[in-house]
Amino acid sequence: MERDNNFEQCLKCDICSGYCPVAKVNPVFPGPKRLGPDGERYRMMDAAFFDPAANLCLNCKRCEVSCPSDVHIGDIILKAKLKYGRKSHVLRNAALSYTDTMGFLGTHFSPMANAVASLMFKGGPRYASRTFERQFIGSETAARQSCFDHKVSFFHGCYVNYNNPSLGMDFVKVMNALGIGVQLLDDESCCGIALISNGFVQKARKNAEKNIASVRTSVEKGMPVISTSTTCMFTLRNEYQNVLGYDMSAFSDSMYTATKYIFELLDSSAVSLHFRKDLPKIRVAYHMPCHLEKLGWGLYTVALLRMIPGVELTVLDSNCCGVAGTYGFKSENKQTSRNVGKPLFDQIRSIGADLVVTDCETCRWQIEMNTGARVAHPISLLAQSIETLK
Amino acid sequence: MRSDVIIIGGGHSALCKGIELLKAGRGCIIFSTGEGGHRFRDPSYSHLNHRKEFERLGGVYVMGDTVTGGQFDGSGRLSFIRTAAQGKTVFYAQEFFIATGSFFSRGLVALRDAVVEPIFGLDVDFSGTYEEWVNPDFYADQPFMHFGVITDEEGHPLKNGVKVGNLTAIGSIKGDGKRQ
Ligand code: SF4
Ligand code: SF4
Repeated sequence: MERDNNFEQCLKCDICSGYCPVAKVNPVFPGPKRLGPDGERYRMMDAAFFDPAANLCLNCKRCEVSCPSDVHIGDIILKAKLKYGRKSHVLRNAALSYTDTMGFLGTHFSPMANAVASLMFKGGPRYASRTFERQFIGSETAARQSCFDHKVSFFHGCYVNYNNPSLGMDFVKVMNALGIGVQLLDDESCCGIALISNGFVQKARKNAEKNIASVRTSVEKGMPVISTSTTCMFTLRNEYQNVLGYDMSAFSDSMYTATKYIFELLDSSAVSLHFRKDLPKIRVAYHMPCHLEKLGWGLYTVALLRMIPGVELTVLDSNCCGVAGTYGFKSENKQTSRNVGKPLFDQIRSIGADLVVTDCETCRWQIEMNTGARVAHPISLLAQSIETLK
Repeated sequence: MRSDVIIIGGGHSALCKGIELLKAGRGCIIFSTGEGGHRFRDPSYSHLNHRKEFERLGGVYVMGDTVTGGQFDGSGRLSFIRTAAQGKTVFYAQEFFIATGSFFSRGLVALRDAVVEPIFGLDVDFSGTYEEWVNPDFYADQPFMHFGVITDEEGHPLKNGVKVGNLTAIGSIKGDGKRQ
């Protein structure tokens, strides 16, 4: 039988299980070692060995980050789910997974959608009344972008488009202040992470193929692709390659999270950010999202936050917030999701920062909902801290 | 990216050195393939607390990223390193430490005819043939357990016989010089 993963590299040390947030709170969860490399051997013999407990996996990839043997545990589990798993809660999962369709409905009927969303899912997204695309395309801001010699493509993702268009505007503001113009991709589809983790592979592939084509066009024109969403970027760069099997190697060095791109620009060129002179002292607690930690790029956000005058930064302990995209929005996962996030919420409460910063939209919802803290994206904090262009 | 100091490997030697450096006012990034410092799950193990202390002091611990190589300048100094996750972004530092451990954590790799240090190809102290590396008496002193990278008195390793002045080997990657 053909093998498309490195499960035999596993040394059975079980460090991954010690690091798995679900294994910590849910005694029936077999853990990454057993579901991943151990289970793979059995599944290769007979698909009947697939353990539906795999549905409890958050796809946070923390196991992979902790594995000293570099076994792609999370990918092994996710691929097994896609190959052998049976779908349950089809309608609700579809509603959570088709984030673009839901977003479209949500922004067109936002008061109603917000009411329905609050009934259907615990907490959860609020929809903006005008999408980012509608605010940006044809606007004065968009027209100004052609004045810049260097341009980048912005993968805004569903969250900026449907829930938080002002983050998109903040991104444009910061890039412009650095002398870089921002364009949208020719054709952007939802990255599809929710489709992948809920088993809607065909639709995920359709989205992936569209996005890859747009990324290719952009990169060929010399424009790197940047996202403010760490999970969208993680999906485009890693999951398309490792889970869906597309070859992303030609683009992976041209795809960035916003903070990585900005940090490298400041680090390698003469441009600098002009911070406002009147910035108050502010105590910031930074939560690194799991998918950013998996990308290995959290250090760029930390470095950028440390540059902002007046910011007194605490990097929170590495923990999962428990929401993991759509997982925490499902009622059967509600308790697990809360328990997983508890160490993080407790730490946030105990240090009592003025502001929590995180790069991920779903982490933001989860933290706001469970701690009542004010939460901002690093790009929004940056945008508020710099002088506006005259 | 630039850092004052970069430590390659994230186990006990790395964290001890990192904490010591931060306390002396230096800046430090650690790259670790996984959770460093042990190979089996041990509830009494305090790696996390040491990592927390390292981060509290301002250190950056990048877990899940493996250093894959580096660039040496004409005078034999290590200028920058590359890692698996950072793509074309390289990391410069004034000073580097290598703390990737011995065979189990792949700080040293035994091939059929040589023992190598896989990241930079540093010179390794081993000799004899494969058969001579191992004593057939399981309980006897095993020659391979004394292998390690060759260093000068200050712990700077050699590459092709030339000292790498701004790199220091710490922990079990170092040979103990007691090889028969
Ligand atoms: S941490 Fe890696 S090597 Fe250890 S049990 Fe898990 S998968 Fe296997
Ligand atoms: S991806 Fe996360 S939840 Fe799933 S097994 Fe790994 S650590 Fe556990």
